[in-house]
Amino acid sequence: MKVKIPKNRLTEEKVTVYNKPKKVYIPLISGNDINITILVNKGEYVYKGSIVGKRKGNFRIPICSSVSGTVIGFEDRTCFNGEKVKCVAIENDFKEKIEIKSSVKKSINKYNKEEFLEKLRENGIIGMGGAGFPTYVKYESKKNNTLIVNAAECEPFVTADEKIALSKCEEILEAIDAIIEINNMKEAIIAIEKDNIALKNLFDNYVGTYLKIKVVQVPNFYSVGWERTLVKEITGKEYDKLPSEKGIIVNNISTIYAIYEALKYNKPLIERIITFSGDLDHPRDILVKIGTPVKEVIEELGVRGNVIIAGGPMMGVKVLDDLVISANQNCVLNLNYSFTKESPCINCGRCVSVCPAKLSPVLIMKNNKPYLDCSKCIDCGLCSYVCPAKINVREYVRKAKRGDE
Amino acid sequence: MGPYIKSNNKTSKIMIHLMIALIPIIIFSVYKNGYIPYSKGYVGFGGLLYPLFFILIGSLTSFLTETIYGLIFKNKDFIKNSYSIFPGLFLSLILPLNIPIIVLILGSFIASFVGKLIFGGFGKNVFNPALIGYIFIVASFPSLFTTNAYLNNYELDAISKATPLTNSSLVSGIGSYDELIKPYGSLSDFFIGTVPGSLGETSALLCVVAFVYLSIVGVIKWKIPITYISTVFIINFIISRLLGVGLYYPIFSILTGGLMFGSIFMATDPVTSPVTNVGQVLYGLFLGILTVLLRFTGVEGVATSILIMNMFVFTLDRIGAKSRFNLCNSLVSLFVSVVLIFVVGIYIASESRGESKDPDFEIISKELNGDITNYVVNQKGYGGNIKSSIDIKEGNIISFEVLNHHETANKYELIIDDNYIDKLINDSDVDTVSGATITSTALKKTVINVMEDYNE
Repeated sequence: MKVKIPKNRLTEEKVTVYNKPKKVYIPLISGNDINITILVNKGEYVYKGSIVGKRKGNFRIPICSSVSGTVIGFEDRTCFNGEKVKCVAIENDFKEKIEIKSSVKKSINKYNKEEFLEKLRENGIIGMGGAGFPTYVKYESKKNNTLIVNAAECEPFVTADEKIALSKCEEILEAIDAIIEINNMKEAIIAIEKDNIALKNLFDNYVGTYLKIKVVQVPNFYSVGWERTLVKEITGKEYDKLPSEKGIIVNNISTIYAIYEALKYNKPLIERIITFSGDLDHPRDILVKIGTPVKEVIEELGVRGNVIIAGGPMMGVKVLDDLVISANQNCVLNLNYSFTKESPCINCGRCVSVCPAKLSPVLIMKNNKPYLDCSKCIDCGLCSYVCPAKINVREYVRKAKRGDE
Repeated sequence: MGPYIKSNNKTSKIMIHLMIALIPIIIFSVYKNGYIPYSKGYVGFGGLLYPLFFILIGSLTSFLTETIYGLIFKNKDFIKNSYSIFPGLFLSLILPLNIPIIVLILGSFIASFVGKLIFGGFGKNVFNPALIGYIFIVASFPSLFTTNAYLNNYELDAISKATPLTNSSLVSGIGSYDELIKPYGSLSDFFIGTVPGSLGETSALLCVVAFVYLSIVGVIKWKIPITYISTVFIINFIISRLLGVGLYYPIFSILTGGLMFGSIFMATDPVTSPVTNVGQVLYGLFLGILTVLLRFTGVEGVATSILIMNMFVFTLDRIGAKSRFNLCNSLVSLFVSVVLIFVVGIYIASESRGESKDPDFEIISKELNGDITNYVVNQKGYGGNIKSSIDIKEGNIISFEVLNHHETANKYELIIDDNYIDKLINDSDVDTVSGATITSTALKKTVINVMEDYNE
């Protein structure tokens, strides 16, 4: 069963910029990995884009400073996953000084594959749609032939991806064209939601010059933005663990823009557009630097709600107001939330019929048996959303997932 | 913790839809069992309202049982979430109208107490609570479930006690159209519900309307009634084909015995039915198989099969959960159920064919005098055995004399006035005498059974 969740409040049309944080706190976390080598000391001067830390292990992704200034220390701040993470605290000198590193090619299609991968890696490009997986790793394989650009944001309130697409359409198309040429791919498909007329019109204007790029509209139901569902909707294919099994790469559209900036300007991933919405007077999409404390941004927007949520309303986490921005966060919500009492489960089966991962949440809740494959759960929250008894079914599935490990 | 938005679904809304779906059925039951007898002068004003009173008492009893229990042992939330009128409400709609009200109260109490509270209250029960109450009453007071128990005062007179109708235990043998349907009207009467039966179960039409309504608002597990009713129809269709009886037989089988009401309201009770798609389909299939089988052995079909299958919901959901990933997990069970459908159909057909012996028929003596065979036989009529003497010469009946009978005098007079016996001698396929259906049917059967024995 496909559930349509209303988009709810829409943000103001214009994207604004917040680039004056007095201090930034760069989270030392890449994806979900907090094993980061710290590469700066207290008191050291850093440029905008300087490397402050590097991920340990196989994925050698650097973490870069988003401002130029002095490192004043290391503090713990809350991050997109709701947990406290060690951050590099930098005092902004507002000079936006950058360091010239390696050179760039004027026509970004002219990079060869090795140079392409290296540019992605050294600029710290990670998946900005949620998981934060190092993007260059996805492109390492030679067997990819389709690129799906995910501009189908299905969580209510979130409009960040739409705004980057509207404002940077030409650049994004140029990047996509470069990617498929460098990696010898057959085609690229941009996925947008059916209701989104503005995006469709915009892409229709430009996409004609790019023969290998198609725009496909997907139906507007929740969890269509999930990788597995999107691949199935567009290509009809199903895969076991990764879309690369079928030669498909899925990238969030904000990630594509970050790739563009990396290839064109050697600019690392240090800022992004984030939706600030919910019960605010002025819900807006704002271009913020990574590490910006959310409190000072949100104060300007007229706070009316009682909780702050990192992420969307379905998959986001309630956080304290010391939240700082990371690269794979796309939304900050301020909502008036009150807890609804749970009543007994009537076994209606709605949670089973909506689960995109084909699980049976009510059975997991009542029995918690391993044969019910709870590890496939993607935390989308649909089971809790549809429950008539207002039971937080997702929590039981999460508990079962942890019990499995 | 999230999600921080929730849908508009609410348990209370689901229960309200269920109540709305029942309202036409309740209104019809008051009309048919209260207003019609009242308008024809069979009962007074009290009788007009009695069906409503019956339903109210049932609902009130289960409500009080669970509420008092909740006040003593539990808390306000328990009471608020118990929706306690439903066990008693459903029970009052499936019990016969003419039982003593105290029996209804007892059944309603048992439905709530044993059916729900003992398991831990709403949402925790394994068995359908109303059916627990029902089976308890059937087992403890079997004598209450006579044919007349289901007839209201008007029907008591108009239908003059024909073949045992059976709302609960249907037709254990194969009957002809005349035996099964004609005494009560036509097949469309069975569909609309103007036939004897318990308050909620007679109108198949209103049950279907309720089903459509509940499906549109999305609060019913619709796969269950669809598969359940289809299975019963298909098996009875197979039987009808094998025995050469008409389409009326399978149609009749789904319109009676409380199948419509049971499959749409009792089998779909969310708490006691499967949650997975495959689980629901298997549930319906096996319910259908069990119902037909149980009916054939003379036991109540619908309530018993639902209570039995309630025990297997856990297993069916296990198969269903695995089938979500890979449909092959359910192929074995689906295959088994399809095979059983055919096996049960063929088995019942063959058993019924072999059963050419009418249990109400008895040959007292059979003598050959020259070229005339004389039978002295007993055939059960309304008041007891009708003893007859029949002479057959060269395959034709030449005389038919009733030696002894216990039929009602004025009914038997109708037989005489109609020259019925003479008609029978000429053609055994003559219409029964209206107003004396049982007696004339018995005489007709006498001729048929004697001829059958003669021709063997």
